[in-house]
Amino acid sequence: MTRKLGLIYCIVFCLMLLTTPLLTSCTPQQTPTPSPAAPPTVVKPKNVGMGAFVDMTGPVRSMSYPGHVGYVTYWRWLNETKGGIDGVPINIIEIDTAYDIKKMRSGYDQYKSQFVTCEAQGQSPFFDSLLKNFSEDKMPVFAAIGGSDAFLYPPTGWVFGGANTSDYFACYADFALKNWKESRKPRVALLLGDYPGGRFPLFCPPYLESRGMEVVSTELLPYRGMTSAMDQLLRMTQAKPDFVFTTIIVPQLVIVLDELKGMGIKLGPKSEGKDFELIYSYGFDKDMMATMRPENWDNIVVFNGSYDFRYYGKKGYEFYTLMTDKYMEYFNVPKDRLAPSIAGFYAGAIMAEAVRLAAQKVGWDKLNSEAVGLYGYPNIKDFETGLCPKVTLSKEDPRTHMGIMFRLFKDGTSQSLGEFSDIPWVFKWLDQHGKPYHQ
Amino acid sequence: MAFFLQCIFSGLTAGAVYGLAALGFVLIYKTSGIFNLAQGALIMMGGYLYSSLAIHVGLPLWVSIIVCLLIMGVIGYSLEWFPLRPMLGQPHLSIIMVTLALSIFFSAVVTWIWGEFSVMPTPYFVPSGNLDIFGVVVTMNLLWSFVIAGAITIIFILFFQFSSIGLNMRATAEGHQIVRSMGISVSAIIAITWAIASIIGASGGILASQIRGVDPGLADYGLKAVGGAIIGGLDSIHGAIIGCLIVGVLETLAGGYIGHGIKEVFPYIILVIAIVIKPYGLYGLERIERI
Amino acid sequence: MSLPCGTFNTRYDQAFAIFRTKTHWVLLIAFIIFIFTVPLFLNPQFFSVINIMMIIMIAVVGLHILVGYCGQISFGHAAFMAIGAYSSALMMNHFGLSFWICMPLAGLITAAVGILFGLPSVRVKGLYLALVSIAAQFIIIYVIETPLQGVTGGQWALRTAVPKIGDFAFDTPPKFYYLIASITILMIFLAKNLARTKTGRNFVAVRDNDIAAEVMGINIVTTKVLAFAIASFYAGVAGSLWAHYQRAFTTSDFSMLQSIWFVGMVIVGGMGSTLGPILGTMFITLLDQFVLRFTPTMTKVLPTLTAAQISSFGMFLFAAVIILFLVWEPRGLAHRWQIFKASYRLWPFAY
Repeated sequence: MTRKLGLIYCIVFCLMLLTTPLLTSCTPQQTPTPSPAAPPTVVKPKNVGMGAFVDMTGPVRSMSYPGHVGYVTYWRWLNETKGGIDGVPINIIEIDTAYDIKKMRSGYDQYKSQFVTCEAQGQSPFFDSLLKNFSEDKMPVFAAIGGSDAFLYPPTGWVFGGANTSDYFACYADFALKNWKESRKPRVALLLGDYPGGRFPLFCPPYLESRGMEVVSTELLPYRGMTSAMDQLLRMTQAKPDFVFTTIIVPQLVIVLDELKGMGIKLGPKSEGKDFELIYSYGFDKDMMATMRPENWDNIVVFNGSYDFRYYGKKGYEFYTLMTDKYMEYFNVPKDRLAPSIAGFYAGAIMAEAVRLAAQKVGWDKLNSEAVGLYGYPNIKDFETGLCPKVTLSKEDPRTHMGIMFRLFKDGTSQSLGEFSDIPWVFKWLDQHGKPYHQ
Repeated sequence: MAFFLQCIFSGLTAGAVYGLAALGFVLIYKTSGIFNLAQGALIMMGGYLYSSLAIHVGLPLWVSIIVCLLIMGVIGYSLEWFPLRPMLGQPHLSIIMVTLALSIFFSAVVTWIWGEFSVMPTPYFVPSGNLDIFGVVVTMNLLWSFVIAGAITIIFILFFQFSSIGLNMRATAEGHQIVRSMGISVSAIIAITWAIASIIGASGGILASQIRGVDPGLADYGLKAVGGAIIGGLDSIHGAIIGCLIVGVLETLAGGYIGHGIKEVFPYIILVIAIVIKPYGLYGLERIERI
Repeated sequence: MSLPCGTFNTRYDQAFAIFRTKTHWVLLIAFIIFIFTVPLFLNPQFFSVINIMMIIMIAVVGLHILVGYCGQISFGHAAFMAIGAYSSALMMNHFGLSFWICMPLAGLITAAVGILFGLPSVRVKGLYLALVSIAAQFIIIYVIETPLQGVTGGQWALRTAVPKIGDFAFDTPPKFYYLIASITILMIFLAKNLARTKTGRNFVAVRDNDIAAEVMGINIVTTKVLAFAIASFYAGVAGSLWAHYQRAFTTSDFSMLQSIWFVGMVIVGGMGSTLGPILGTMFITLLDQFVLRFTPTMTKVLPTLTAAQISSFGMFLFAAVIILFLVWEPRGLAHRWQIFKASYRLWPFAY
């Protein structure tokens, strides 16, 4: 590599830099307010933008990526089969945030003029820091998983496709108390991952205690460079919990399960003579099962956040199979890899429906993010996603994701543990009781 | 007491993994004076390469480990040719920047090739299970890590002390000019150094993958390695190992007795105190400067 | 600096002048007019980039005073920015002080912490000092997140109000641009001026050989600690601006990676002259933006790539450009600029 060659590369690069303004001026401008004399015929735009913020390359990838591909698969299928939303193709804008707040910010700033609504999976710092920007830009966001102010004080048009992590814990409380037979209070330990979404349930204890549980231990596991959690697990087990609620991510889970096994802890209900039940928050897929040792994930309870297609019968199952095949086709995925999270598919459908409703109401030429927030999402009533039961949203309760189910992993398979249960909205509870979680 | 012993033991095994990461780091620093910020990325690549060879290419487990180490060795060797040979003699900070850019480059490579797997499956060769020694639980995972890391370190130290290439490397650590005047090619030695550091890093990655699975978080071990290496003294190979063991133990003790998220930061607090007491690390070469 | 043909220095004040010839003054005035009229014709969406770039420029100029002039390596600069940001935001939120008081106070608070973490520099040198700065980075962020959680909000975003002069609020990026531009120009000028004061000469002496400097009578303890204090002051000011510009920020804005990139900007720009950090910040920020904007066009050109491959392509480009640039010019952009200036002054002669 001679220095002359390096010089040539540098000059070429500088030329590329100088053409950046040209590149940016090619991007479509924000849809302007309409001129008074609008033509009578409906003019459809070239495409409508849908933003997708996901952690593709960062630490919480295992949590956010599976849902994300569901949205993208659905939108591409919609483009292919129906030409988009009412014939307007969807321009999918995927932004990799790598869980890095600068990338989130710059990605949002660059692309906000190009999409009318966006989704974000497991990006709590995103919701948290940009909450004011979202309010000012009147951008409706489909938020899934995580934990931040946004889940308590959502701006108009916001929809929650996935409960925040504190609400998960409230569901686990329901699950725990349902089968609790003894007279004493059940003891619960919180095993949290030390990242913003994972720390969110630190605010949950007042709710858990109001339900009659006793929080005996709270541990934060570092999510960078952790090799052993033995010290903290020892402290936790010394507190003798009956249930362990977790927000740890896969690498941490691998270590925790291995060390719990090493300590001789048996996972399962106290009634069966085991030590405690461990509940994992982010769902399982085949990839994850291949990552972990099979002998370690026996008897772990997994929160299966999406609707189970079997709940919706044969029709849901067919649609789910179709979506899975499309996913494999679009992403060149080999046949034996499991599909992404079901929640992504129906969430993509809800977002597309919101845009469609808004476009119907104000017309395609006036469609912008404010319109989607005012006329799109709040007007979704009895919407059939094709996958699961009908979805209805309202300003008071903008959550699409109301039911969860638990699955138990045992002997290499998973079995469902009972029916769907409703997700309480913990922060509404905390707010009503006069204690918002921060002053 | 059992709790304390348990913390020490877990800490030692955690430190062993960090030590492997630091070994390569200190080796590169000794022979070429480069602060290698790309070590974490090499560790990550080792883990991913190993998993991919075993599962996607379908090689048998031990063959895939050997092939992985060989490929990483070749990559390390070629790193010397570009970009490090043109940078010989340039300001140190510029070279640090180049290694930083290299770490980004390797992260990009890993994402490019294996990006679409949400979680990378990992083939396990360490058996599951644990030993109970005087009430202290040692999981097989951590035991194997300790043993293998120890073995690699010992093999490496023997190689470094007694083989002719090791002698050349130690000479290069003293001064490049001297080595050149003796007729030994400094570039070749540095290339071999990088190759060995990459191989050691890759083995660290493979071991770490047995503990926590393969994911981009493997790159974080690079930073732990830097901390441990500096405690032990950047100039000393065995210092790096001891420094990392200390980091591991301190971390675990802090997690065990204090908790509340202090685990990551506790070693650094101790570091600052230690540095003020012993500025060149425990075993580093002390430069005596008196006014 | 090398002077144009025919200009000679006959007095001390001429030798030390920053703006020496009439051309310099004309260019300076034209430049200032340009800077302040830019919002009139530039597309508003660029302002988010430019504002961030200028805020980071302040921090990097400060870091350069430490690394380039005084020769002490610091990988903890982002944490000092965090201190500035949090102290400024909290002072405004809790005590209701005006922005114009908060910002210098935040700078002073950060300088105080900088002195604290600069004290080990009298015992350790070189890369070991780098470790102390890495430790500072982690410790400061930890302290903000965990023990001070009740005050700072821990890992969740802290929200701030907009700075005002009377009733005029700087709430949109173009308006904020004026504020940031003025402060940036002021801080850069102060940094440039520092180089020709006695303190600046002390810094350079300590960098080149601190034992010789001590022998000549320069107190290296005071000098090194002062360098840390000044660099931290700059970081504090930048942090304060960041807090009020972003309106909501968390500790993840000031991570270890950001610290490393600050050092990277100083290196890429070139150490030893104030132009270095300016060019370095511009180069890396614009490279980042270019990569960000280039990736969607990649999708259209090569649709068979997966999303992960597209995002990694951006990283490839970024890393490759940095490596190529450093291989070509390890002494940074400023050095290349000097060579260019010298060559056009002397053209067509090679000497």
